[in-house]
Amino acid sequence: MMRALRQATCVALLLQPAGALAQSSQFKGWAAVSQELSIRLAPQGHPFDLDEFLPSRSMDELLGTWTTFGTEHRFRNGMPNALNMTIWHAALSGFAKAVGQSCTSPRLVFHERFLTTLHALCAWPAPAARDEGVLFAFWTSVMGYNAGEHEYAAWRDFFLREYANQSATETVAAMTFAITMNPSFLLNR
Amino acid sequence: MQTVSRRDVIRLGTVGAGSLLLAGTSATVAADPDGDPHFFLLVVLDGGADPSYMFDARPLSMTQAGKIQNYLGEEPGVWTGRNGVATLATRLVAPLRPFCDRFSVLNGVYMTPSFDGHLQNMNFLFSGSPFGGDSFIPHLNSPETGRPPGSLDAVLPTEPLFLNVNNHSSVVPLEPNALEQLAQRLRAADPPRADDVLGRFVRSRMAAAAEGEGRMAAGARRMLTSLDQAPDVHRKLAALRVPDEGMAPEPRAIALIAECFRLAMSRSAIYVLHEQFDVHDADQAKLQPKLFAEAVGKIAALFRALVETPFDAKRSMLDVTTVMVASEFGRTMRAPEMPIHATGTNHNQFANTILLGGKGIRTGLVIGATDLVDEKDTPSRAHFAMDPALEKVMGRPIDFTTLRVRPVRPDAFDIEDCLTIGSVVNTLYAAFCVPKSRYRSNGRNLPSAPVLDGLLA
Repeated sequence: MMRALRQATCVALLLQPAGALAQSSQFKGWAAVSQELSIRLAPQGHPFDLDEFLPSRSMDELLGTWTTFGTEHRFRNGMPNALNMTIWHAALSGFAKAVGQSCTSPRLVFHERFLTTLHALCAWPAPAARDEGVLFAFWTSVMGYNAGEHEYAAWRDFFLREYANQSATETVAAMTFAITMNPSFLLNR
Repeated sequence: MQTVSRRDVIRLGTVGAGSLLLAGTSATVAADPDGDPHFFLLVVLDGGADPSYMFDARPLSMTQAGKIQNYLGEEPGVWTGRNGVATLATRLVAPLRPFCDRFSVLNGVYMTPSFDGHLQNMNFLFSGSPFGGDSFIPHLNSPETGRPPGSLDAVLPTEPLFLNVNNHSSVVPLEPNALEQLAQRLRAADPPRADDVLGRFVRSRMAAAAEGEGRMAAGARRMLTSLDQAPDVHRKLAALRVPDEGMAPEPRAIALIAECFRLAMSRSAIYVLHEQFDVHDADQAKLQPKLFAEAVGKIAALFRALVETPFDAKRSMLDVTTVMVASEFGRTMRAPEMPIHATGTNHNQFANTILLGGKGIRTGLVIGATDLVDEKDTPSRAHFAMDPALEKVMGRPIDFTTLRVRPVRPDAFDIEDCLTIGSVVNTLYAAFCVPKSRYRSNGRNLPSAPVLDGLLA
């Protein structure tokens, strides 16, 4: 009997979780990203309904979501994979396009301060829109303070260089997309 | 007994292939250029299904003696394998008779010997550890098997399981009703591009974040790899023809899985039955005949769909798919201090029943058995040591060469004598050519759990 108990205890104690327990950041999830964007860009008390940009219903669950089983409360589907990356890409492309189109006809309702920044940026490629203050205000409005200064600098320099002659609608959409697809925006720290 | 013949399969396959294959797609080539496609389907009975209602039944006299509940109230019949080994089975398995030569029955399979919780045993099934870890499913899709990996490790056309596994990032739920819209939207959208200036910039920021150590860098690396694969998945999803909503759920799921396999979108699929088998309460336990009738009907429908759904012009889905039907554990014979006619059952991790069939598996066999076969059977000392209250049947020691139960009554429990989930998974690994370095052992300092060679085709 002792042998059996010993063996049972061994099996219990020594079967450690297998290797490759790589620590990796996961996506924040659609709910968290929607909330962040609403807080930063939407009027207080009127959050965005960003679900319209998801390519299909239930897809938010594939982008990272909390689930409960008994006493277990786990975040699921947050590890980047080819499918959730495809869905993020489709959803954030749609959102970015809507922000860009807001230069000509409002697609989303923004709060006052962001609207001021957006209107200034919508003069692109005029010099007023290429102003450091305008660009930084737009960056921080969307990204928040999740990324380091070097990320902002890389983003700013890229658009000043590569989008110098593009339309405002296209540029604002691309700017928004580039920010929201940045790991600093999408991943949990 | 009516069975579905190989000829039926070919005939059905020839008839159906044209309508199911994607236009302009060479399915076999898309799925596996080496012409030897091999996939995996896991059907999960969630909650701990009682094997005594299926392929590990007990005589009614045992219920009359107050040893084991039986709300079917019928004498079980004999189910004999092609290897001459018999087990008692209830009439509830009748829908599976036509497919009796399509799968083998494994009785008395040990899950984790030390924990009897749902999560721990489901973790153990998938990862070999009650606490979680790497799941075996992605290993079947690894390049180390010598096959080109599918874009995703597995798709779930049902609700996902609760697991603590950390390499499940490419095991994703794909609910059929949501897929139709997804496919439509993706057809209208551009896939992620790496050849335009914006795409290159987005990638460059991921690459920058991926440099160095730490969780963010690891996450960014995963993002980058996933973004590289995303155009392929985008195109495959856009090409996906979602099966008609009017189809019954099981054939529809198999049709969808077939699409995913043909497109090389995934190596595996997991199908979770909706029935909840956790019947601690007497009122729940009394519903088991209905519960199992429905569940077995669905399993039979899945097998039928696998037989009738062509993978290509020559092969059915069952020809290219290894199928496993499993629960996280079995159940106790009864609950203590409840009358035998009004008792629920608790968890029994010492005796699970698993069905294994399809590609790479010798089918029609009965392997393994449990003890306490009738009211007169006395337990071994090993049984007393592990289950002093005699609430559980336990898997009997097995000869791994002959796959027959050894006629011994051990004094002490030794996991190495037992048919374990580790052996079952290692047998799957052998069928899929997963390297031996991945093989599971049954405990520290023990060798790999034996592969059931006699079960390999």
